[in-house]
Amino acid sequence: MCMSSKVAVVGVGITKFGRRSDANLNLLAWQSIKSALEDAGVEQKDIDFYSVGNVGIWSEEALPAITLGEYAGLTSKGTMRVEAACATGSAAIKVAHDAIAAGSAKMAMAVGVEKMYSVPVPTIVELIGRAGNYFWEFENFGLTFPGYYALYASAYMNKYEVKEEDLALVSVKNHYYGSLNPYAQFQKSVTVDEVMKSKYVAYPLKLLDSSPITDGSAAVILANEETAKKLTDTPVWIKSQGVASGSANLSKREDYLSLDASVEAANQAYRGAGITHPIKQVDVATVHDCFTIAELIAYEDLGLAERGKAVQLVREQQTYKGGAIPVNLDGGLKAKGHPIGATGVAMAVEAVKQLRREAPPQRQADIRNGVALTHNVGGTGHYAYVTLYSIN
Amino acid sequence: MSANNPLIKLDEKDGKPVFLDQRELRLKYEIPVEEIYPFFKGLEEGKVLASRCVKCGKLYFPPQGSCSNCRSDNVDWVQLSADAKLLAATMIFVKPQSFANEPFYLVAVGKLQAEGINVLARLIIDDPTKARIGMPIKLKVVRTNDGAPIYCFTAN
Repeated sequence: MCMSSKVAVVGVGITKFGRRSDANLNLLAWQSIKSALEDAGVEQKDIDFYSVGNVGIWSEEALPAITLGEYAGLTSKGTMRVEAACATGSAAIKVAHDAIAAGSAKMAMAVGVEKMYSVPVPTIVELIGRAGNYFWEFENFGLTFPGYYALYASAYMNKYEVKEEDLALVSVKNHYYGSLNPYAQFQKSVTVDEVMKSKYVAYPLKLLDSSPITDGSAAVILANEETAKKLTDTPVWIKSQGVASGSANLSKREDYLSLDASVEAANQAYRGAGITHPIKQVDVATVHDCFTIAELIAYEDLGLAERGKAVQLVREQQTYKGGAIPVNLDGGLKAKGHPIGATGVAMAVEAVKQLRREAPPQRQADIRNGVALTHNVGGTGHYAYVTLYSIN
Repeated sequence: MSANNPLIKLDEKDGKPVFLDQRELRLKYEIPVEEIYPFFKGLEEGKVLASRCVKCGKLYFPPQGSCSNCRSDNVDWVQLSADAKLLAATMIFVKPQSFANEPFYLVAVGKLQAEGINVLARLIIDDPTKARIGMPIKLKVVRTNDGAPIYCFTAN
């Protein structure tokens, strides 16, 4: 969609992702807020509004926007909690962005935070499994969240003759970049053999095809054009946001080869930013690799590969740094971790750091056009947010 | 556990102090089903029923009692055919807590050949390794161990 007034990212912050038994939800959020305030060079009083992305059914606070706001010295500011499943972070950014675009805020913050290790792992499996249609899919049949993507994997792999070893290549790439990211949950490389030997979660997906349970937080501070230009010489503009949704029931989908919501969100975002050849015009992308199959499907839904050809990109290492389109140079959800409400905000943090050329050299993409893309999916294409960031 | 406070324990992985907050809360939902009650009556008779808008003819499965296409509340009920083709399938190894006592199970999507709509259900098959995308399967009603009727797919 077309944006009437310009909105820039002027500050970013992120915490270490992982099993954070040292920090509760409020402290975790504060750690990323503090970094973002320092990065932007602003104070809490300068923030007119803040949105909080938190799914949170596994952590103790019912009103996270309020409790973390108190901890972070934001009390009295307008706020709301936002939910779009695993795309919650991008939804929080949209709310903050739109507040500025509408003229109701000069500066707004989007905070994403998730504290998943507060409950036992089987409880998480239970609660995430409901992320679709509770009655018709979970209650009756015990579908799990990996199970949703495994259904897609089964159809996709059959149609395009993709092997489990091909999926493993995505995990190998993202773990390699995770090993170069001090904020990542897993800072170690894996081999195809290790991925293949990991246990099945939902056939054909294995543990090392899957993003982990993660605690973490990220925050971005957004500002209108006038404010941004006073604050920084390196604003990163939100050029466009594409937002779409998919059916709750997977049975209402036509086939299991593509996420329609991703395609629609990408088309909106490309139109809004004037992108006609994404693989040539986008310098670096973060895509929603909650499972390895999801990254392959994302390449096709985003127009980075033709239908059925995504696997060629990974086999030829075209999505590594230096390739045709580097993807998930921060380790992706797979290795960096996937604190559900924080993930979309963490993607924005990565896009901004890449465009400012602030990533560590081994995983800094070549910035030629000054354009980065984030692709954040909620559920199994239940929500999709595609956002284009630019230094121009 | 801390010696002087039973509510503080040290994290099993990294030894950080955490407060143990444990409350019993049984989730019990009462989900209204009046609009689709014929579906449940159909299951009791061994039939899988979809709702169909009398005005515009749109078929709904899962069923719904009001048509969002033409805003009519007038639906009738039609029995779905049995013959289907396997579109997608997965074997669930890591199970939700409330399914922990079940053996590993297959969940599948089948395309009904007559109606052209997709249905998601368990796939009951003697040898799960023989499940193949594209194979013919049948939609039928079985009884759970509790005696409740439920629809599933079986091999032919």
